[in-house]
Amino acid sequence: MKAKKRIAIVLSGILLVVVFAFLALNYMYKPHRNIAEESVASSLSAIEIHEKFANPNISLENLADKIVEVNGSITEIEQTHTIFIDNKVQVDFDTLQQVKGVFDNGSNITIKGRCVGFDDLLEIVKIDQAILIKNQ
Amino acid sequence: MKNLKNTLFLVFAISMLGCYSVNAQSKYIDKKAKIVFEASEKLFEEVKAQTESATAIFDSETNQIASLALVKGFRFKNSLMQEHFNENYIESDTYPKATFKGKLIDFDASELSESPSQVSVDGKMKLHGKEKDIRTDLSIYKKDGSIVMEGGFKVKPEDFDISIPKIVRNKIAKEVLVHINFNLIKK
Repeated sequence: MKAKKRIAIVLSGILLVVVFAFLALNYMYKPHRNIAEESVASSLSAIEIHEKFANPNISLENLADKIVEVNGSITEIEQTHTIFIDNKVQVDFDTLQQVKGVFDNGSNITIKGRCVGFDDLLEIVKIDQAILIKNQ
Repeated sequence: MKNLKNTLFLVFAISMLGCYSVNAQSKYIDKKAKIVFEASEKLFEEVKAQTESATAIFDSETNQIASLALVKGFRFKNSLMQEHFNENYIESDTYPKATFKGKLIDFDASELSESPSQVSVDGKMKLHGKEKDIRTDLSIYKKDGSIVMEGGFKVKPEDFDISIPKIVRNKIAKEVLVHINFNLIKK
Protein backbone atom coordinates (compact mmCIF):
# COMPACT_ATOMS: atom_id res chain seq x y z
CA MET A 1 0.00 0.00 0.00
CA LYS A 2 2.74 2.43 1.00
CA ALA A 3 4.80 1.53 -2.08
CA LYS A 4 1.82 2.14 -4.35
CA LYS A 5 1.25 5.57 -2.86
CA ARG A 6 4.91 6.48 -3.32
CA ILE A 7 4.83 5.45 -6.98
CA ALA A 8 1.68 7.50 -7.52
CA ILE A 9 3.30 10.58 -6.00
CA VAL A 10 6.46 10.16 -8.08
CA LEU A 11 4.49 9.60 -11.27
CA SER A 12 2.26 12.64 -10.77
CA GLY A 13 5.39 14.68 -9.99
CA ILE A 14 6.98 13.63 -13.27
CA LEU A 15 3.76 14.37 -15.13
CA LEU A 16 3.63 17.85 -13.60
CA VAL A 17 7.22 18.58 -14.64
CA VAL A 18 6.58 17.37 -18.21
CA VAL A 19 3.41 19.48 -18.53
CA PHE A 20 5.18 22.53 -17.13
CA ALA A 21 8.19 22.06 -19.42
CA PHE A 22 5.88 21.64 -22.40
CA LEU A 23 3.99 24.85 -21.59
CA ALA A 24 7.22 26.77 -20.97
CA LEU A 25 8.80 25.63 -24.24
CA ASN A 26 5.60 26.38 -26.10
CA TYR A 27 5.67 29.90 -24.73
CA MET A 28 9.38 30.46 -25.41
CA TYR A 29 9.31 29.09 -28.93
CA LYS A 30 5.89 30.13 -30.10
CA PRO A 31 5.65 30.47 -33.87
CA HIS A 32 5.96 33.79 -35.73
CA ARG A 33 2.72 35.46 -36.70
CA ASN A 34 1.00 34.04 -39.72
CA ILE A 35 0.16 36.95 -42.00
CA ALA A 36 -2.01 34.84 -44.31
CA GLU A 37 -4.31 33.77 -41.47
CA GLU A 38 -4.48 37.02 -39.52
CA SER A 39 -7.41 39.29 -40.24
CA VAL A 40 -6.86 42.64 -41.92
CA ALA A 41 -6.92 45.68 -39.62
CA SER A 42 -7.40 48.14 -42.45
CA SER A 43 -7.93 47.95 -46.19
CA LEU A 44 -6.98 51.03 -48.19
CA SER A 45 -5.22 52.42 -51.26
CA ALA A 46 -1.49 53.14 -51.38
CA ILE A 47 -2.22 56.88 -51.48
CA GLU A 48 -4.49 56.68 -48.43
CA ILE A 49 -2.00 54.76 -46.30
CA HIS A 50 0.77 57.17 -47.29
CA GLU A 51 -1.46 60.08 -46.33
CA LYS A 52 -2.09 58.55 -42.90
CA PHE A 53 1.62 58.45 -42.12
CA ALA A 54 2.71 61.63 -43.90
CA ASN A 55 0.03 63.76 -42.16
CA PRO A 56 -0.35 62.26 -38.70
CA ASN A 57 -2.80 65.04 -37.83
CA ILE A 58 -5.43 63.55 -40.10
CA SER A 59 -5.71 60.37 -38.12
CA LEU A 60 -4.39 59.13 -34.83
CA GLU A 61 -4.82 55.53 -35.84
CA ASN A 62 -1.45 53.83 -35.75
CA LEU A 63 -1.10 51.20 -38.41
CA ALA A 64 2.47 50.21 -37.56
CA ASP A 65 2.82 46.47 -36.99
CA LYS A 66 -0.79 45.92 -38.11
CA ILE A 67 -1.89 43.73 -40.98
CA VAL A 68 -3.07 45.88 -43.88
CA GLU A 69 -4.44 45.31 -47.33
CA VAL A 70 -3.19 47.84 -49.88
CA ASN A 71 -4.14 48.40 -53.50
CA GLY A 72 -2.76 50.56 -56.29
CA SER A 73 -0.72 50.30 -59.44
CA ILE A 74 2.83 49.01 -59.62
CA THR A 75 5.35 51.74 -60.35
CA GLU A 76 8.64 49.93 -59.81
CA ILE A 77 9.82 46.34 -59.66
CA GLU A 78 13.07 45.61 -57.83
CA GLN A 79 15.32 42.58 -57.56
CA THR A 80 13.97 39.34 -56.10
CA HIS A 81 10.87 40.26 -54.08
CA THR A 82 10.21 43.97 -53.80
CA ILE A 83 7.74 46.23 -55.64
CA PHE A 84 6.58 49.82 -55.25
CA ILE A 85 2.91 50.81 -55.42
CA ASP A 86 2.14 54.31 -56.71
CA ASN A 87 5.67 55.37 -55.58
CA LYS A 88 4.21 55.62 -52.06
CA VAL A 89 4.44 52.13 -50.64
CA GLN A 90 7.34 49.67 -50.68
CA VAL A 91 6.20 46.06 -50.52
CA ASP A 92 8.57 43.25 -49.64
CA PHE A 93 6.94 39.94 -50.43
CA ASP A 94 7.69 36.89 -48.37
CA THR A 95 10.41 34.75 -49.84
CA LEU A 96 8.10 32.47 -51.84
CA GLN A 97 6.83 35.23 -54.12
CA GLN A 98 9.02 36.08 -57.10
CA VAL A 99 8.37 39.47 -58.70
CA LYS A 100 10.56 39.65 -61.81
CA GLY A 101 8.55 38.45 -64.79
CA VAL A 102 5.48 37.84 -62.63
CA PHE A 103 4.32 41.45 -62.19
CA ASP A 104 4.17 44.25 -64.72
CA ASN A 105 4.63 47.97 -64.25
CA GLY A 106 1.28 49.74 -64.29
CA SER A 107 -0.85 46.75 -63.40
CA ASN A 108 -3.33 47.01 -60.54
CA ILE A 109 -2.45 44.98 -57.53
CA THR A 110 -3.82 44.21 -54.08
CA ILE A 111 -1.53 42.84 -51.40
CA LYS A 112 -1.80 41.90 -47.75
CA GLY A 113 1.14 42.35 -45.45
CA ARG A 114 2.51 43.75 -42.23
CA CYS A 115 2.88 47.51 -42.13
CA VAL A 116 6.38 48.22 -40.77
CA GLY A 117 6.09 52.00 -40.63
CA PHE A 118 6.98 55.21 -42.38
CA ASP A 119 10.40 55.88 -43.84
CA ASP A 120 10.83 59.65 -43.79
CA LEU A 121 14.10 59.63 -45.74
CA LEU A 122 12.32 58.41 -48.86
CA GLU A 123 8.84 59.37 -47.65
CA ILE A 124 7.38 55.94 -48.29
CA VAL A 125 5.40 53.46 -46.24
CA LYS A 126 7.07 50.06 -45.85
CA ILE A 127 5.25 46.75 -45.79
CA ASP A 128 6.93 43.37 -45.33
CA GLN A 129 5.98 39.67 -45.35
CA ALA A 130 3.41 40.48 -48.01
CA ILE A 131 1.29 38.03 -49.93
CA LEU A 132 -0.48 38.63 -53.20
CA ILE A 133 -4.27 38.98 -53.06
CA LYS A 134 -5.09 40.17 -56.57
CA ASN A 135 -3.07 41.03 -59.68
CA GLN A 136 -4.86 42.36 -62.73
CA MET B 1 14.89 98.81 -61.25
CA LYS B 2 12.62 96.29 -62.84
CA ASN B 3 15.49 95.11 -64.99
CA LEU B 4 17.67 94.55 -61.97
CA LYS B 5 14.91 92.58 -60.31
CA ASN B 6 14.53 90.41 -63.38
CA THR B 7 18.26 89.80 -63.62
CA LEU B 8 18.44 88.88 -59.96
CA PHE B 9 15.54 86.51 -60.36
CA LEU B 10 17.19 84.90 -63.39
CA VAL B 11 20.48 84.45 -61.53
CA PHE B 12 18.60 82.97 -58.60
CA ALA B 13 16.64 80.61 -60.84
CA ILE B 14 19.75 79.42 -62.68
CA SER B 15 21.67 78.82 -59.48
CA MET B 16 18.73 76.89 -58.06
CA LEU B 17 18.60 74.80 -61.21
CA GLY B 18 22.35 74.24 -60.93
CA CYS B 19 22.05 73.05 -57.35
CA TYR B 20 19.23 70.76 -58.21
CA SER B 21 20.91 69.04 -61.15
CA VAL B 22 24.14 68.55 -59.19
CA ASN B 23 22.19 66.98 -56.37
CA ALA B 24 20.19 64.78 -58.66
CA GLN B 25 23.30 63.39 -60.29
CA SER B 26 25.29 62.56 -57.23
CA LYS B 27 22.70 60.69 -55.17
CA TYR B 28 22.99 56.98 -54.62
CA ILE B 29 20.13 55.14 -52.94
CA ASP B 30 19.60 51.70 -51.47
CA LYS B 31 15.97 51.01 -50.59
CA LYS B 32 16.72 47.49 -49.42
CA ALA B 33 19.75 48.03 -47.24
CA LYS B 34 20.79 45.10 -45.04
CA ILE B 35 21.51 45.65 -41.38
CA VAL B 36 22.25 42.84 -38.94
CA PHE B 37 22.92 43.12 -35.24
CA GLU B 38 24.06 40.42 -32.92
CA ALA B 39 24.46 40.26 -29.15
CA SER B 40 24.89 36.52 -28.69
CA GLU B 41 26.70 34.98 -25.75
CA LYS B 42 28.39 31.61 -26.03
CA LEU B 43 26.32 28.64 -24.84
CA PHE B 44 23.10 30.67 -24.88
CA GLU B 45 20.51 31.12 -27.54
CA GLU B 46 21.48 33.31 -30.49
CA VAL B 47 20.45 36.96 -30.06
CA LYS B 48 20.48 38.19 -33.59
CA ALA B 49 18.15 40.11 -35.88
CA GLN B 50 18.26 41.48 -39.36
CA THR B 51 16.37 43.73 -41.70
CA GLU B 52 16.59 43.83 -45.47
CA SER B 53 14.41 46.85 -45.93
CA ALA B 54 16.39 49.71 -44.42
CA THR B 55 17.14 52.83 -46.45
CA ALA B 56 20.52 54.33 -47.22
CA ILE B 57 21.28 57.48 -49.19
CA PHE B 58 24.76 58.61 -50.20
CA ASP B 59 25.66 61.90 -51.85
CA SER B 60 28.96 61.59 -53.72
CA GLU B 61 29.16 65.39 -54.06
CA THR B 62 29.24 66.08 -50.33
CA ASN B 63 30.22 62.56 -49.13
CA GLN B 64 27.27 62.63 -46.76
CA ILE B 65 25.54 59.42 -45.89
CA ALA B 66 22.17 58.90 -44.23
CA SER B 67 20.48 55.69 -43.25
CA LEU B 68 17.16 54.81 -41.67
CA ALA B 69 15.90 51.49 -40.38
CA LEU B 70 12.43 50.89 -39.02
CA VAL B 71 12.92 49.03 -35.76
CA LYS B 72 9.89 46.83 -36.31
CA GLY B 73 11.51 45.65 -39.55
CA PHE B 74 14.17 43.71 -37.60
CA ARG B 75 13.35 40.05 -37.53
CA PHE B 76 14.58 37.46 -35.05
CA LYS B 77 14.50 33.70 -35.33
CA ASN B 78 12.67 33.51 -32.01
CA SER B 79 9.35 35.36 -32.07
CA LEU B 80 9.21 35.85 -28.30
CA MET B 81 12.65 37.47 -28.43
CA GLN B 82 11.39 39.77 -31.18
CA GLU B 83 8.36 40.67 -29.06
CA HIS B 84 10.45 41.46 -25.98
CA PHE B 85 12.94 43.42 -28.06
CA ASN B 86 10.17 45.61 -29.45
CA GLU B 87 8.07 46.01 -26.32
CA ASN B 88 10.51 46.02 -23.41
CA TYR B 89 13.96 47.01 -24.63
CA ILE B 90 13.77 49.24 -27.68
CA GLU B 91 10.14 50.37 -27.21
CA SER B 92 9.47 50.54 -30.92
CA ASP B 93 5.99 52.03 -30.52
CA THR B 94 7.50 55.15 -29.00
CA TYR B 95 10.77 55.10 -30.96
CA PRO B 96 10.02 53.50 -34.32
CA LYS B 97 13.23 54.52 -36.08
CA ALA B 98 16.96 53.96 -35.93
CA THR B 99 18.94 56.48 -37.95
CA PHE B 100 22.52 57.21 -38.88
CA LYS B 101 23.78 60.46 -40.34
CA GLY B 102 27.40 60.91 -41.17
CA LYS B 103 30.15 61.68 -43.60
CA LEU B 104 32.84 59.71 -45.37
CA ILE B 105 36.29 61.12 -44.67
CA ASP B 106 38.83 61.78 -47.46
CA PHE B 107 36.74 59.92 -49.97
CA ASP B 108 36.49 60.55 -53.69
CA ALA B 109 33.77 58.56 -55.44
CA SER B 110 35.38 59.10 -58.86
CA GLU B 111 38.49 57.18 -57.75
CA LEU B 112 36.49 54.17 -56.66
CA SER B 113 37.35 50.82 -58.26
CA GLU B 114 36.17 47.25 -58.13
CA SER B 115 38.68 46.39 -55.46
CA PRO B 116 37.55 47.37 -51.95
CA SER B 117 39.12 50.37 -50.25
CA GLN B 118 38.91 51.21 -46.56
CA VAL B 119 37.21 54.51 -45.82
CA SER B 120 36.51 56.09 -42.45
CA VAL B 121 33.04 57.30 -41.66
CA ASP B 122 32.14 59.71 -38.92
CA GLY B 123 28.60 60.29 -37.76
CA LYS B 124 25.81 60.03 -35.27
CA MET B 125 23.50 57.14 -34.66
CA LYS B 126 20.10 57.76 -33.11
CA LEU B 127 18.11 55.04 -31.42
CA HIS B 128 15.64 54.87 -28.54
CA GLY B 129 15.64 58.68 -28.46
CA LYS B 130 19.38 58.87 -27.74
CA GLU B 131 22.28 59.90 -29.95
CA LYS B 132 25.77 58.45 -30.06
CA ASP B 133 28.87 59.32 -32.05
CA ILE B 134 30.02 56.50 -34.27
CA ARG B 135 33.35 56.26 -36.04
CA THR B 136 34.23 53.19 -38.03
CA ASP B 137 35.81 51.94 -41.25
CA LEU B 138 33.78 50.84 -44.23
CA SER B 139 34.92 48.71 -47.08
CA ILE B 140 33.72 50.41 -50.27
CA TYR B 141 33.85 49.26 -53.87
CA LYS B 142 32.10 49.54 -57.19
CA LYS B 143 29.93 46.78 -58.57
CA ASP B 144 28.02 47.01 -61.86
CA GLY B 145 27.73 50.78 -61.60
CA SER B 146 26.48 50.78 -58.03
CA ILE B 147 28.47 51.51 -54.89
CA VAL B 148 28.74 48.79 -52.27
CA MET B 149 29.51 49.65 -48.64
CA GLU B 150 30.17 47.04 -46.00
CA GLY B 151 31.25 47.36 -42.44
CA GLY B 152 30.43 47.09 -38.80
CA PHE B 153 30.75 48.71 -35.44
CA LYS B 154 30.01 48.00 -31.81
CA VAL B 155 27.55 49.73 -29.53
CA LYS B 156 26.38 49.13 -26.00
CA PRO B 157 22.76 49.00 -24.88
CA GLU B 158 23.46 51.61 -22.19
CA ASP B 159 24.69 54.05 -24.87
CA PHE B 160 21.06 54.36 -25.83
CA ASP B 161 19.57 54.12 -22.33
CA ILE B 162 18.36 50.59 -22.92
CA SER B 163 18.41 48.61 -19.70
CA ILE B 164 18.64 44.84 -19.78
CA PRO B 165 16.87 43.11 -16.88
CA LYS B 166 19.08 41.12 -14.48
CA ILE B 167 17.41 37.84 -15.32
CA VAL B 168 18.62 37.84 -18.93
CA ARG B 169 21.77 39.94 -18.50
CA ASN B 170 24.22 37.06 -18.84
CA LYS B 171 22.47 35.79 -21.97
CA ILE B 172 22.97 39.04 -23.87
CA ALA B 173 26.42 40.28 -24.84
CA LYS B 174 27.60 43.54 -23.30
CA GLU B 175 28.52 44.82 -26.75
CA VAL B 176 26.19 44.62 -29.71
CA LEU B 177 27.80 44.05 -33.06
CA VAL B 178 26.13 45.91 -35.90
CA HIS B 179 26.87 44.94 -39.47
CA ILE B 180 25.75 46.90 -42.51
CA ASN B 181 25.64 46.05 -46.20
CA PHE B 182 24.51 48.79 -48.59
CA ASN B 183 24.17 48.39 -52.32
CA LEU B 184 23.68 51.97 -53.49
CA ILE B 185 22.26 52.56 -56.94
CA LYS B 186 22.65 55.85 -58.76
CA LYS B 187 19.46 57.87 -59.02
